[in-house]
Amino acid sequence: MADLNIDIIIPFVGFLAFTCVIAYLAVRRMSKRIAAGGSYTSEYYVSGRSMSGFVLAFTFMATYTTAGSFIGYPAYAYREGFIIWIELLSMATVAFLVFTLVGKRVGVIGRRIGAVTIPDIFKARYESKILIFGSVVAIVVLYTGYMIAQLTGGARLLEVLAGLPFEVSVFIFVAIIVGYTALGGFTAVTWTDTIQGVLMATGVWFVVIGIFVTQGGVQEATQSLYEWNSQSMFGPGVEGSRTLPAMVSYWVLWVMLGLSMPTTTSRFLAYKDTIALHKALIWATVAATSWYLSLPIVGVYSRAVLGHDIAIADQVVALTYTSVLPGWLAGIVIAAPFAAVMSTVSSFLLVIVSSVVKDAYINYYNPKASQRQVRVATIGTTLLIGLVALILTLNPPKMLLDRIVWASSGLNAAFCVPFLGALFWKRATKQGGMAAFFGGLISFAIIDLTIKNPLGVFSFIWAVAISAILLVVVSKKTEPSSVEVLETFYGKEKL
Amino acid sequence: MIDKEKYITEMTEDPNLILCRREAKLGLISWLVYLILILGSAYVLGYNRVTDPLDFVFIFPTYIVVSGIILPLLFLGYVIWLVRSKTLVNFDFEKEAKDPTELL
Repeated sequence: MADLNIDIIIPFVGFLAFTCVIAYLAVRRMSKRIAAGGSYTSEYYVSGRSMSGFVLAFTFMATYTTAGSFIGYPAYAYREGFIIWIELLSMATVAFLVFTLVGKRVGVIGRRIGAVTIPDIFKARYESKILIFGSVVAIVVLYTGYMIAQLTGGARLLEVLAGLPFEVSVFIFVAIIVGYTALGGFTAVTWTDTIQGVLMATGVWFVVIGIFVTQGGVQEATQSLYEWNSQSMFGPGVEGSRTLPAMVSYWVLWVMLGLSMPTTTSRFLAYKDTIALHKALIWATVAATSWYLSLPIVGVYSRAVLGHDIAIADQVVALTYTSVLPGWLAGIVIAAPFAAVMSTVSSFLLVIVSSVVKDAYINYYNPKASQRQVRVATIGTTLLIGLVALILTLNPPKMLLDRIVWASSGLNAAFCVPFLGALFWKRATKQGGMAAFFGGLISFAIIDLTIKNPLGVFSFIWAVAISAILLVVVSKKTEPSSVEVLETFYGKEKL
Repeated sequence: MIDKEKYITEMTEDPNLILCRREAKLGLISWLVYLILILGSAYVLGYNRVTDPLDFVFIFPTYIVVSGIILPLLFLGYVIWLVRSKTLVNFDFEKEAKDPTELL
């Protein structure tokens, strides 16, 4: 076992303690609102639809941004050079496109039908038990796998940096995340996301400053990169992987993921009003521009700091942070990737729990469940999923996890088109929605396992295109939705 | 028996839906224009080039300054303008089902 690194552990414990304080305040607020007559389901799952613009912005971006962006992308930039800067900026546009495309529409529909989850919208629009069942099973299985992958990445980083045993690191992450999600629900998740998002947006800039100070200026550092390999300055990069089709694919891929993940789009069920939504749009774009400008700088210039001999590129971030910052400051800033892990895992956990409790238990098993029964089911399910995540993370079935993380891309391909169809297209039908959902999932699996990325365009994008064709063709061939559904979703008056 | 095909084409739409559709189109077109500008400028200025001495503007390669700094900041300004100019419209969720015509 590596020696414990107190410089890292003390600020990290401080970060966790601060997170717990914020979560406690959120739990207290939720309890007060329920005591004042609020519905437990509404308060727990959508925070009583009272979320402010600032919180919406940071919970959206912190949930969307995974450890991969904070650890994986700087590693890519270390290998390929400046061109990754342009690719990473795609993520700075995700909030703009997703907010303008679906932000208001989900807010309107959510209130009209009382939805607290994205499958609630599917249920009301497509009236298909098979579709709901399929989406619940897929969310629980695939997103649990995705969550485990995030936890594993975070715990491994903590193991390397702080010298904490892997098992202890996993236990700390799971216990804290499950604790505040079970007790504080959406409010606790979004408030902690906000703190974590602010830390993510500001922390990396300290590293950028540290790099340029230690290298004697930006121009000197750039010159040293140019002298190492002039192709690190230009596209398609040192290894030549960022061709123009690949860049277009990445840009489309990242925004489509933001659009199709139930974890991000469910945020629009909870904001207070359109003023909050517009404020959130500005905050989210500012925050995203800040961290997607700083991350590639860290990655590109880490070569000037660390040299050319880093065999495992994923260690670039940790090594750069500890090389250019004093120990205590590195300990604070290194909390940013952990914040990315925690914000993503807590949001996935909440979506999984809401699928089990709201979409399965309440919708189909016990529609007249009392508030107490819903509370017991919610806390029990959160603890159970947390326990499963803990066990699986400690004994990761590696190949299976790789498949699950891969398949969750397919799940996003499955959600994207029927979700947009439900919001905007009157002619979409139950059969069309089912064909688009299952067709997107299956076609992704087939394409990616056989011809993988045809014409240099990612399998995910082809799957979304097939899903769209299926929605249109099957809907046109089948009976339109009922008048009640049409009026509820698109009419002047809710029937 | 209602002819649902006819009902769909003739039904009175929720004005909020019309607004949301308009903003969705605006968002999608703006994003596509930005995508073309940023990748187009990066491709023209930054692909398959060998320059000696290094083509700097200030302290970064030229295409990074244009595509990686100036355009993202202009995009941020555009987003702020869309909100401040009220091009993205505010409406009241509580009123939308009762009296939506006043929103237009």
